[in-house]
Amino acid sequence: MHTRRLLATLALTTTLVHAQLPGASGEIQAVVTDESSKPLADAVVIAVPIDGNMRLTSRPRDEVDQVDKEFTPRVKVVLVGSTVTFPNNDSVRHQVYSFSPAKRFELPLYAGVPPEPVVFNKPGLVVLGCNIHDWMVGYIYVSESPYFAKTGLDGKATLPDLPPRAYVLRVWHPQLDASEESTQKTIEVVRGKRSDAAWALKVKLVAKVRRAPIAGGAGRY
Amino acid sequence: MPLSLLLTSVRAYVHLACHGLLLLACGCASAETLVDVDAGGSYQDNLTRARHREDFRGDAALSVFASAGRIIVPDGMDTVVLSGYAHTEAFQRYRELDHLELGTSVSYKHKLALGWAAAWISAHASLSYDDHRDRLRDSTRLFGELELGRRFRPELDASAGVFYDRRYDNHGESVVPGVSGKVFDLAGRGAFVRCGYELSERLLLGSRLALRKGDVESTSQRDFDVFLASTAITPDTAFGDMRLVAYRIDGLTRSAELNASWAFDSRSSLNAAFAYARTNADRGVVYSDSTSSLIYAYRF
Repeated sequence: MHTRRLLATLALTTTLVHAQLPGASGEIQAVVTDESSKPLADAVVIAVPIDGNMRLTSRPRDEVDQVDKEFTPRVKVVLVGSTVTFPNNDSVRHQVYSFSPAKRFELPLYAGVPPEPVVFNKPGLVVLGCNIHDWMVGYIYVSESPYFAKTGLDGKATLPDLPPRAYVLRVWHPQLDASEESTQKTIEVVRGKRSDAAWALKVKLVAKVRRAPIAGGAGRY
Repeated sequence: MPLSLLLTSVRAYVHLACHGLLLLACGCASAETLVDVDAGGSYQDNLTRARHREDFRGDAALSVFASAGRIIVPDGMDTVVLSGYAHTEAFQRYRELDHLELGTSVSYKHKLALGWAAAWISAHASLSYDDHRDRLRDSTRLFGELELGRRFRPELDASAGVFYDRRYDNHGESVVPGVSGKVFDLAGRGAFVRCGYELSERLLLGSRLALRKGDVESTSQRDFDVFLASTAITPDTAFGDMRLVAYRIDGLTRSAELNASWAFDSRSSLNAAFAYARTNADRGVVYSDSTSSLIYAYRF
């Protein structure tokens, strides 16, 4: 166990490069890859000011769609206290639920847009499922900090408009094979400059209920 | 079967299937359409299910299976699937075994709790007409199954159940006084366990063990033990060998199947399977057969 943690820690690499930016704030450019340098999409990067001074902005309404019997986006990051609606853009009904400690809820079978959004008032990871289509899985990462971003297909994410101060950065990814805490690193954001941070994460295969058909018409429902 | 009679039967079953589906699917605005097509090949080493090797007849077959239906979800815990299906096989050597099966099926599944890990129970029933080139094998089939299952992990699921099968034969002619000729008038019941394990994102491995008690059909040359153990006898010309006789025997069949399914994407897969069955009947009559198959499955 210690060896694994050590390996995971060794796998983390940080580079700090400062580039000139206009304005009174700074930004962080994050790059997340796996250990073989392959970019990781859908990695969540959170920046928490060390002094705890967070400018909590208004909490917009977010959405997690259901399209072609999959959650879209698969990974969503929201600020704690945010409300999320789950519009169903399929021609069939869904029954969205979560058993995660950060938010337990169930939206009874519905089509279209559910009348009430769901409030996510506790930080942490919320794993979504559909009771009708067992292969559907989605993630809502509820951040305690307003400074977050999600990586694109290139494994890159930008956290803009950061007040200059020291931050603790951490990363979460659906396939992360280590604790979130083990990805932590401290970074100083300087006014008008860009700071770079990079992670090479140890990832694991995450099993998912299979959707593909099996001969004989079996394998679904 | 004469062509006109065949067409009449096929039309009747298609109409029955379509009307049943329309009636049951009407009013279910949120029902989902389900269309599956499978195509592939198989090889069975003992089509005759004979006791002695000299009576074994093995052959390869091409098969196509297509089903279309509606999935109705009345509430979050219950799912009903109504479908009509067609299954045909064309054999390489024994063309008299070529057949077309048309049927309808209904499945009901109830989840006992919320979530993918919840246990479930299901009931399945199907009714079909199986038309062969060889008239002797033409029959109506009835199948029912009850199953209890659970997904223990996203990659591991298992289930167990019981089944009943019935095949009605109106063609077999009696050739032995006092002994029925309807060898394909078969009934059986049994139990099974199965499990599936996803070895990787694409590869699913599965297995199934079953025990069935009931009638089986065996074709062989005249055999005294088989004769005494049989409950129906009639000549069988499907294999082009006039020495062969079809027998109906009451036996206990143990079967095992291993399969592997490779997913190309969320809609298609390639499926390889190997199944082995061994039947023990009265008077020490034992026979076994195995089937290997490779099938491509696509879901629209």
